[in-house]
Formats: sequence, structure tokens, C-alpha cells
Amino acid sequence: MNSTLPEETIRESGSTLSNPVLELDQVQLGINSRKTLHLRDFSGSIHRGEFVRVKVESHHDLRDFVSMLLGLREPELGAIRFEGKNWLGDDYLRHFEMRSRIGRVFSGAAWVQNLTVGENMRLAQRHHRHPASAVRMGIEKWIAILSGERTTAVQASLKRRPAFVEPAILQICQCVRALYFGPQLLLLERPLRFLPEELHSTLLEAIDGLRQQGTAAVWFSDDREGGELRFPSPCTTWRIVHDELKNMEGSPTS
Amino acid sequence: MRLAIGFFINGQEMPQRTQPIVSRLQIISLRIVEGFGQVVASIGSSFLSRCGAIATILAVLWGTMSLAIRPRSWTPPVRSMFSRQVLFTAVDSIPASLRFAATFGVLMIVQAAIWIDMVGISTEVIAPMLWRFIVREIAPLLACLVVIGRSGVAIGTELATMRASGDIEVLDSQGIDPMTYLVMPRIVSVVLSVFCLAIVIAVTMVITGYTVGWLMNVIRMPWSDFFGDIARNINLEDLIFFASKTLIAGGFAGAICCINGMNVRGAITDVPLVSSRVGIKALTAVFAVSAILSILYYKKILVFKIG
Repeated sequence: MNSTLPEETIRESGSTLSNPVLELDQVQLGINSRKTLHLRDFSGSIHRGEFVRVKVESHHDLRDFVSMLLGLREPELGAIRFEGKNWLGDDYLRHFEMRSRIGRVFSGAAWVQNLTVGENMRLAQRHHRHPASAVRMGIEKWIAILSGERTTAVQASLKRRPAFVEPAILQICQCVRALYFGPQLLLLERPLRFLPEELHSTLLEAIDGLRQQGTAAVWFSDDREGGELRFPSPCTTWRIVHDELKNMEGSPTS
Repeated sequence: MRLAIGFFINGQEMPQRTQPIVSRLQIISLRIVEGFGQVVASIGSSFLSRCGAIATILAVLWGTMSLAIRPRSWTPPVRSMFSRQVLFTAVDSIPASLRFAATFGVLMIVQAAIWIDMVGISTEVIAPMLWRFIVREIAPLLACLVVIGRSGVAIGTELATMRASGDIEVLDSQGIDPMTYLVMPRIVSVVLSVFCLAIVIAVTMVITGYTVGWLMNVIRMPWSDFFGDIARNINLEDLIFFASKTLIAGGFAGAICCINGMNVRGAITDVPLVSSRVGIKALTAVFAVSAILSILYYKKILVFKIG
């Protein structure tokens, strides 16, 4: 989050290139099963500060694919590397440490139901031994940035369990949880779902701010979600053709 | 293969009349052999599956121990989870433990009164025996029953629900090891709870037993002599026995509850199945562990000495 990019990695266009944050090398997923989204020899990479938009359809279940990017599921073939390191082997401590630098907005189950929303938001960073005061201040700061006029409602929700909080507020809290620690990589599964419309551009601006500091982002959404938004360049698009993910690098941004 | 056997034996075709009888006998004998093979195979696979289950429990216990002794594992959320679990498993179980212990204490003193009258022995003789029986067998077992009934089933159900509803994946995605955050503090708290509750139960049983016995006029010695006798008869063996039974049985109970909860595959509707199975499995393990430890310790199966 606080890191500055080396000069040699900064392009004239303002985009940045360095070692990829996330690499997919000849990945195959879901070919032999009935998954709604599959990959066949898919290769692609995401660099620091880069924004990848994955255009999905409403029926696509992203859970397995995003979990695969996080090393929670193994691809049938190929390799996935985060900051040059793969998810293979039984060095679980390294894997957990790698995941602690990735922010994720879930499209399905996103909360530990027997904790309050506030405990959920603090949980990962406290577990990774970030000081309590820094975590609290980070959350407060990002709630102020992302909540707009709903700051009071969001703060009130922190003491309640997720089952008793309305989806719009929960989605704001999810975004805060994914962003506030300045992750190296952001995986955003349908981030605009349930998010109040007036906060769409706020979220995009916040992500853009993180990108300036080197965070790479993968944004999964369909055409209806965020159709009004202009995704700032450099923006790469991965499309899904007949339920298969295709890398359309260099395609124009919306 | 059966058809070929029916018509040919040792490569020679059988006469028409003997074919049906011989082939039937051969088929029957083959079926018997097959059936015997299936029985052996099912016994073997059942044995291997039991061995696999025990290996999994031991692996989880080893993982728990190695995580628990590492200070790095005890992050603030893990400490918070542990303290909540101890509160639920140990502290909140004290009233139930006291009730059970008091009832058992009364039952034991009634039994003791009967034996004192029948055999004609004195209270001084029977008090240390009762104490030994309580410390070595009843208190650890009763503590395990309380913890499994009150917390073990809840732990299994909670973990199964978390697994089925995707909460575990949420933790994993954020770089939180479910073994460190969910399993280890629960098993450690179950072990400690069984140990502490067993002490509470043993003391309660003795106090209740003495009080009821004194009121019934079965115990006629003053309380200072009664408890003095017991105190003089406590030895290192009792403590080793007590500690090993509570810690090992508690560890097995905790591990079984966690493993069954975390192994749920499928939907949330599978969770009730876990709830119903986990208690029985944990209780079976506790009784088995308790019996095996007694055999190892006394080197006896009932009255038959081993070795």
C-alpha cells in the first residue's frame, strides 16, 4: 500500500509493468465437470497497478475460479503464481501469508456468521498481527471513504451479526474489508451487486487510488453491472465466450 | 467362467447326466468361497477404515499439539476463540457437572453403605477405595460425558455448518488457517475442560457422598478424619492415572468432534447427520480410550492378568 513503484517500471503512458502480481500459465479448469465457467489452456498475467475486467454472464458461478486464483482449488492443468510463487506443495504457512496480501469481495457467502460484522472485518488483519489501533483506524478511514451518506448505518452494523444486516450495508463492509489494508491484489466478484448506485463511482475511484500505489485488481461483472462506469486505463478485458474464459488483451475498455 | 465350469472339469467334457449336479455343486462351492472372500474383504476394509480413522485422529492431535506449543499460533483472534470456547465448555458446564457429581456421589454412598453392612468392613477401609474409584474411573468419564453432551455436539454442528455454508472458505481466502483458528483452540479447550471438570466432579462427589453418608448415619467418622484418610491415600499413581485419562480421552473427544464437523461434504441439510453421529462417535472413543488405559495401567483384562 505504501510502497512506491520503481521508476523503471513506469511506462510513458502511466501504466506500470513489473513482475506480474498474478500469472496464469496454460490453466485448465472445469473441462471435465459441468462448471458454468471453464478455462482451456488459459494464459494471462496481471501486473502491479493493472486492472483486469472479466466480463461474465449472470449464470456464471465465479466461486471456484476465484478460489483457484487464491490457491484454494487446484487447476486441472497449468500453474498459477502469485508474485512469482506458486500455490503448490505443503508450505501452508507461505500460502496463508500470500493470501493475507489479497483482498477479495465475495459474490456468495462472505462472512463468518457467528462473528459480528466488525469482528469479521478485523479478523484477518488481527490474525496477521497488525496492531489493533492501526486496524481500527484503517477501517474507520475506509468506511468514511466508501459509505457516503450511509456511514452511520455502516458503523452501527459493525456490532451486529451479518444475518441481521441489510445486503447493501454488508456489501459496503465487504468492500471496506477488501480494500483497507492495501492489498497487492484485489479480486472483486460482482462488487456492484447490492452496492447502492451512488457508491459505484466512489468504489471505482477508491480502487483507482489503490492502483496508483501498485495494487492490481481483477473485476468480475456482467455488462449490466457498472455499465455507466468508465474503467480507467490500463484496463485489460478477459471475456467469456461460450462459458470459456478468453484473454482479450488489448481490447478497448468501456 | 461359471458356464465353462459347468460343462468341463479338468478339460474333459462331463457326461450329460452328471453335468447338472456337478455344475451346481461347483457353483455352490464357488459361491461359498466368494461369500467367504466377501466377508473377509469387508472385515479387512472395515479394519483398515478404523485404522485410517485412528490415524486421522492422531494426526489432528499431533497437529494441534504442534500448533499449541508455538507462541506464533496464538494470535489475538485465536486467543479470543480459545477463551470463548473455555467459557462455553468449562465454565458454563460447572452447574451441570455439579448436579451429575452430586447425584453420583449419593448413588456411590448408598452402594458403599450396602457393602459396609454386607461385608462388615469399616468406613476407614472403604473411603480410600471409593476415592480411588472416583479419581481413576468415574470422574474422568463423567467429565467427558458432560463435555461431549454439552459442547462436543455443538462443536461438531458449528464446524459442519461453517463448512457447508462456505465460512471456512471465507477464512481460507483471507489467509487464516482453519486448523489454527477453529480446530486447535477447540481441542485444547476441550482437553483442559475435561481435566478441570473432572477435578470439580471428583471433589463434589466426595463432599456430597460424605454429607449424605453422615446424614444417613452410614459414615460415623468426623469429616476431618474422612478427608484426612483420603488425603493420606492420594499417591502419584492416582494423579498419573487421572491426568492421562482426562487429557487423552478429552483430546480424542475434541478431535473426533472437530474432524466430523470439518468433513461435511454437501449441503446444509447434512449438518443434522453430523450432530447425531458426532456424540456417539466421541462417546465410543472415550469409553474405548478409558478401557485401554485401564488395561495398560493395571495390565489386566477383568480378572485375567496380561503377561
